[in-house]
Amino acid sequence: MGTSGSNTVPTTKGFKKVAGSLRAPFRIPANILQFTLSAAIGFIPSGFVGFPVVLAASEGISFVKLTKEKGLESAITIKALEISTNYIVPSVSHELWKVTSNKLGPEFAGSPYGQIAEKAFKKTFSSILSKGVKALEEEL
Amino acid sequence: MTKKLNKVDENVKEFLNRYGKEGFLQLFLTNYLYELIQYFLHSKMRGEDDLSLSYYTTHQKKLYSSEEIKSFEDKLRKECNIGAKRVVEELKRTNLIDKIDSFPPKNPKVARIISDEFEHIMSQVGRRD
Repeated sequence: MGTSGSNTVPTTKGFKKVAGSLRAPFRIPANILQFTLSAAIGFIPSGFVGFPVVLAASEGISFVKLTKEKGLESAITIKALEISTNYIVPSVSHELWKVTSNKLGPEFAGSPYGQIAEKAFKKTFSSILSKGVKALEEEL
Repeated sequence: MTKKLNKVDENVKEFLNRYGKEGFLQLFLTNYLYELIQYFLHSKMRGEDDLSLSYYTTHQKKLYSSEEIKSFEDKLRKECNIGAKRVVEELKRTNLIDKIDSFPPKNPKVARIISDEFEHIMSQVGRRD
């Protein structure tokens, strides 16, 4: 991950457990997810996971519902998105995140956790807009 | 409407008709969990426990091949998808899913409660019963 190089975590019991699970002779991804998430949630300041994720989810759902009801062109107009006709998918994802980011404010949107939400949000939209149902089928 | 715009329009409608908002949440949370986990797994930690070093090396301190890393990341992503599915199920069980639609509510205290409830659900991801 591009922004990950500078992150330093404290030598807590939780993160030591993560390191141990990575160094195990046979890695168990389910354990690694569980230990990492548990250590991470305890480390991240309260609100920095919930607020960006719930707000981004809300904006995303609102846009796809609007597209279903009124069509993409109208949804773009209603949300006042500036779209490049040559790069529809990335520009919709980018513009929608701009709307979300403005609502989040710089404290949340500019934090590393806001940037993680941004990556996930843009990836989700790029995938749905370009692949349709295959976006989720590929994950199953 | 241009041909390109038409196709994108079709993709969104198809997705929502097939999977609904639950599907949108599942995909978004899969991506979020994966990015969050990767962020921490590539973090620095003092001494032998450095996470970014442990990520790429075996217990015998040999480097994993790029194929092995790719295979590990694919499995990790699958786990994130399972975790995301659990979060969506829990959001439905607690009716929090309906509060997401109109988030943030006017009252900041209510927004905080919803955000806290969501974080609590996320903290349970991956726990085995």
